[in-house]
Amino acid sequence: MKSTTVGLYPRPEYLQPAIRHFAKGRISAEQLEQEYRKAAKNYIELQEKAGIDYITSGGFSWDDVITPYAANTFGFKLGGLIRFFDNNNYYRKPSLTVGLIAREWKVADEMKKKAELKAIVPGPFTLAKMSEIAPFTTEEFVAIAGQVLNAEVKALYAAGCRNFQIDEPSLVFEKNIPDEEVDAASIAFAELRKGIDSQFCLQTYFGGAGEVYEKLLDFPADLIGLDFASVASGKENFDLVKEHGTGGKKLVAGVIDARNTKMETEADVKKAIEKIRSGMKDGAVILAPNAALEYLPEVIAEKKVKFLGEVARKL
Amino acid sequence: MAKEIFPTTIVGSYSKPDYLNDAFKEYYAGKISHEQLHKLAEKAIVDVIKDHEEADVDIVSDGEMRRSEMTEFFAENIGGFKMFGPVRVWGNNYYQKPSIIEKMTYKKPILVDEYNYTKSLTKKRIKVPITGPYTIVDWSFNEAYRNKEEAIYALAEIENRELKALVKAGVDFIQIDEPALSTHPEEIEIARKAIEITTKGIDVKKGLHICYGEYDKIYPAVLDFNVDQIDLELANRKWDIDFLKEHEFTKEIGYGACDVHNPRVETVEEIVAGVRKGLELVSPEKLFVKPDCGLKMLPRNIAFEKLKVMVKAAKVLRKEFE
Repeated sequence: MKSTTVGLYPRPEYLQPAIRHFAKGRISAEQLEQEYRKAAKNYIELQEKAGIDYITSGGFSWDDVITPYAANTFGFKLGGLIRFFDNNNYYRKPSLTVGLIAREWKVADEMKKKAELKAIVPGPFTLAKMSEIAPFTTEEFVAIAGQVLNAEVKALYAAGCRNFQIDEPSLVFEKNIPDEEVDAASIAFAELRKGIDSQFCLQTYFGGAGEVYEKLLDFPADLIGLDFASVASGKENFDLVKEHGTGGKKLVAGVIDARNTKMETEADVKKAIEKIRSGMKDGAVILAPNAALEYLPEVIAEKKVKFLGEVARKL
Repeated sequence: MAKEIFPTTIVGSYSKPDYLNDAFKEYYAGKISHEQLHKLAEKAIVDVIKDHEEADVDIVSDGEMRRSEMTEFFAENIGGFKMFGPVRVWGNNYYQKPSIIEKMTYKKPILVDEYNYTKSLTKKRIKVPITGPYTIVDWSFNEAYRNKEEAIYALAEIENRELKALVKAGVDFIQIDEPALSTHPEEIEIARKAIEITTKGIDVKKGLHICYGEYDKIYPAVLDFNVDQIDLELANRKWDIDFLKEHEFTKEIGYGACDVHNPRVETVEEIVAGVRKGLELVSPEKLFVKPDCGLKMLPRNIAFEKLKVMVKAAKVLRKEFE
């Protein structure tokens, strides 16, 4: 069985003061960048040693998966001073910063040896729900986001990325989402991947797919990621897969709990996978944590990565 | 006699002096002993009490100087917890999120020494805050219990023993802090039961402090909790208390009279006006004037100024209503 990680990883303890020191001007941007690279290198090595097939970069320079992208891409980032028309008067030139994720991905990709590096891209619907988007409606905003993110995905593709995880926790966390909004999210997903021949995963976490599950199966995604480790959401998702299968999509099965320090046993994982497989008519299963491991203390996150690779190989 | 109406008090925490913050760091790094840390905390408590007395607050506390953090401290002193390392709260800020790795046990009284020491320093009435079982479990990883509910009730039993020890030591005002409560309004019934277990057989004054959140979703349900006083943040919502009027306020109110997240010191007039609104809910002897929340995030001098202004405002009101 193949395995994957799904998101940000805890910042190592040495990185926390480095970020503070940079903010206070005590170390340079280059020095901080070195620290980020060191963290990425260690994390990539950890995943490869553990035998994880589809790895992630850890996103050590990111405070969360939403704001860096929203702040730099949907707004303009201010650059250096430029003359304002023909006056002796200057302004800061704003630039759209497409390629934010691609740059980080490229750095991490050069560090890896054998595993395949996934890129994690925030989904249009989740970006809409986590931001103030007035005067746009959710439907309008996700359409715009789909187009903007398509440019990011193209930049990633150009950098060599062929494996994309699109994070859409809001699709399962929010309740009673109007059908039109889910449909708009699906159309935006198609827009986001337009023209790119790669694997795209619709990654959910922090909830059971409940009433939107059948609609999620209609998303133009090659894989779907679901939580099977949380008590309530897990049960809900087991039942959904049993009843509806996965519509031919590969399943990223979040069987390892990323929000509890308790270590799963091999038997727990085996049992869960058997249960999932019994409901699926087709499509492969990839073993994964049910969310980013960043919610755990680093020592436990590390144990879970090792366990993930080990148990996947045995299955 | 004036003090029987609009009693003034605090919620609990006060900002720690730098030497104490450093001492905590050194203690966790294994560089100083618990004894040494303790001595510095006691020194800091003397200054907190001095501030509270100078501001003329009626019901004081030790500013929680001995407590590293409101969850961590209890996790360190109750059996069954283990710390695996820091977890991000937001951006580059972290806290030690404890794991419940085995069934929790009550080892020995946790707050009795703290109370006795404070009592030795002041003649004023003392309030002892304790982080409630709902919040501690909500802010921990649960490895040992089948579900969250079970863990909460188990911890409530332990806290009940602690409360009994406090009452035996002479404590007559206990405040249970449940900041996590307003973040999960759907679990209010679990929290209610937990407080019932925590307070079983405890006949002294009991308050319940709830930090800012979706108050309208937990009110009036909180009136069913087995406590005498509900302590709320109201200054930071500009004393917009209309939601409280939808139901008769059947308990005492810990009335948030100054904002702890804004360093601007309120004026006496502002606070008087804000507190006066509370009289639409309860009578003056049931209206406890206190800051919205713990003052630990504010610089010491500003916290002190806020307390002084708040007490002045209470005195203005007392004159008016005597």
